[in-house]
Amino acid sequence: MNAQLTFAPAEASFVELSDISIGYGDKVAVENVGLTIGPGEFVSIIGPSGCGKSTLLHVLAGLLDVRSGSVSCRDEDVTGQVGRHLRAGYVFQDHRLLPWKTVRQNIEIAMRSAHVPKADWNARVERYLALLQVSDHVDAWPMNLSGGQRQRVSIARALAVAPDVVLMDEPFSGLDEVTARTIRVELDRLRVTEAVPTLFVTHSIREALYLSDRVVVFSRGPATVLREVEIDLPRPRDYNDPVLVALERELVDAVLAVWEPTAGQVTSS
Amino acid sequence: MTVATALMSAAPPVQAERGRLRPRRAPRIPSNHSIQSAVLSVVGLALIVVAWAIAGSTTRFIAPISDVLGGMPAFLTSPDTWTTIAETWTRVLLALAAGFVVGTAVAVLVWKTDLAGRVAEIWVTVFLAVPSTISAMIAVFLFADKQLGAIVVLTATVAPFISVLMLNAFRRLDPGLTEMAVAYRLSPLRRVATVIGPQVFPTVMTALRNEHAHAWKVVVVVELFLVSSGMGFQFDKSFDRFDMQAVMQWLVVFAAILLLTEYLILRPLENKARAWKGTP
Repeated sequence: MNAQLTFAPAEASFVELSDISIGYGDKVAVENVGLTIGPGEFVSIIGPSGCGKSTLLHVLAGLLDVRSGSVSCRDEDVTGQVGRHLRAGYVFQDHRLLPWKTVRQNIEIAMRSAHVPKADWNARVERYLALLQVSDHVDAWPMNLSGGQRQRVSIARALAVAPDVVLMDEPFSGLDEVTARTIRVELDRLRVTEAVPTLFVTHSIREALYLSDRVVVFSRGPATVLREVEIDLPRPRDYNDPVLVALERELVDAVLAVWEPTAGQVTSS
Repeated sequence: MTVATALMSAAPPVQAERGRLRPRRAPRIPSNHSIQSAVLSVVGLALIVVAWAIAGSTTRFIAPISDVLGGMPAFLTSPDTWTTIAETWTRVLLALAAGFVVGTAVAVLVWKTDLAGRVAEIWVTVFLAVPSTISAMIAVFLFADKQLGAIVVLTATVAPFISVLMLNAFRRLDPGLTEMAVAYRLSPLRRVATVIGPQVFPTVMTALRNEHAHAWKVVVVVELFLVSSGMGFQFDKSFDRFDMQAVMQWLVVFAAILLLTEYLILRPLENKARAWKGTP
């Protein structure tokens, strides 16, 4: 087992962002960032608020174009055409389900747009709702589900579209801790059978370490990559694994001075 | 097997086929609130009838209720009555349809474009301020085809109001759902049908209800000025002859059309489309 703070070695990439800069109007959100996601790899981005983590997801979802740099997928340059070449399953902070459509219809709408063959819809809906433990609610209106159940459906939708990459933007930040922990455990278990390349954005260092194969630490905005950490722990994992606890402490100490320069003598506990 | 279980087993399999069924809902039982609301509506209507009965027996210019209702069977069985209603109704429906097309198009223009949007917004403000009587009088000179003129005046009356309502609805669209639709590559048509449409639907219903009533009121004026047919023309003709019974009969038909449309078409449509708001 090699779970320690190291720089990650370069590996064959499925998605590669090279030296990209992204901005809104006059503001630069991300500057000269390079990031790779390997086939089946779960990569987390952690960084302070407003550092541009979500902006990076927007690029991979085709919601935003880069100002400079390049994006490639399977070694093909897809800069400016990410939406056309990369099928993404997106899990937002909030569920973003259509409240006037049932759970099944929400997933079917996404699958239809992703050109998933209609013959596969039923099996996929049942499979992913079962994996996320919400199959009893397949014909329910989202408004009649709890926050945790809605987010489970949202994750099921992201997986059901047969995505090239799953993008998750702080999906548990709006949930209570118990629900969040339960879904994190399910997500970790899912990795055993559903190793879809995933880019996960979070504020929680422990969450990132628990779920990821690799954690990328961003600086304050405009974001640059401070360091990358490989988490070589077998799955399923234990959220309170002493190795993760030690790694979290080590990482907090390493980034605190950069993220919060005014923190002074504050140390992790 | 008890009677209850026998009945349950005889019921059709609700979940037999995937996907095409909505969530099961309990049969709708009227709440105390809806019963109270219905009782108040009946009381309100009864008060109008009482006021009419009093006014009819004490004044010359309001026909007695008994005369009006007594003449109703002959009035309603006359083919001329229904031809007149159909003429007016057609004008209202055509104007509403055109008003929604124009009003929504202008709202999209104002919402999505800068320069053209500002120009359109000023036009909307001006048209909102023009009294429909003035529009009808201007149309007398503008349109050789008076039938077309009537539709145009009605459309010009309802479209600005529809435009303002629709613009507010577009501006209130949930950006999160729009982002989701883009991220999941929903086609523009599907976005309109599944993401935008349901969000603006309550506004469409409000606009439809308001402008349906508005168009009915204005159509009477327009028919009075522009065309020699329809309910407005009949009102005018009856009033000129001081046939107050006919005036009141047309008024009853007028109110009945508005109320029946509201309660038999608009409200059920709205309730059905809001089923997703969920059960408690």
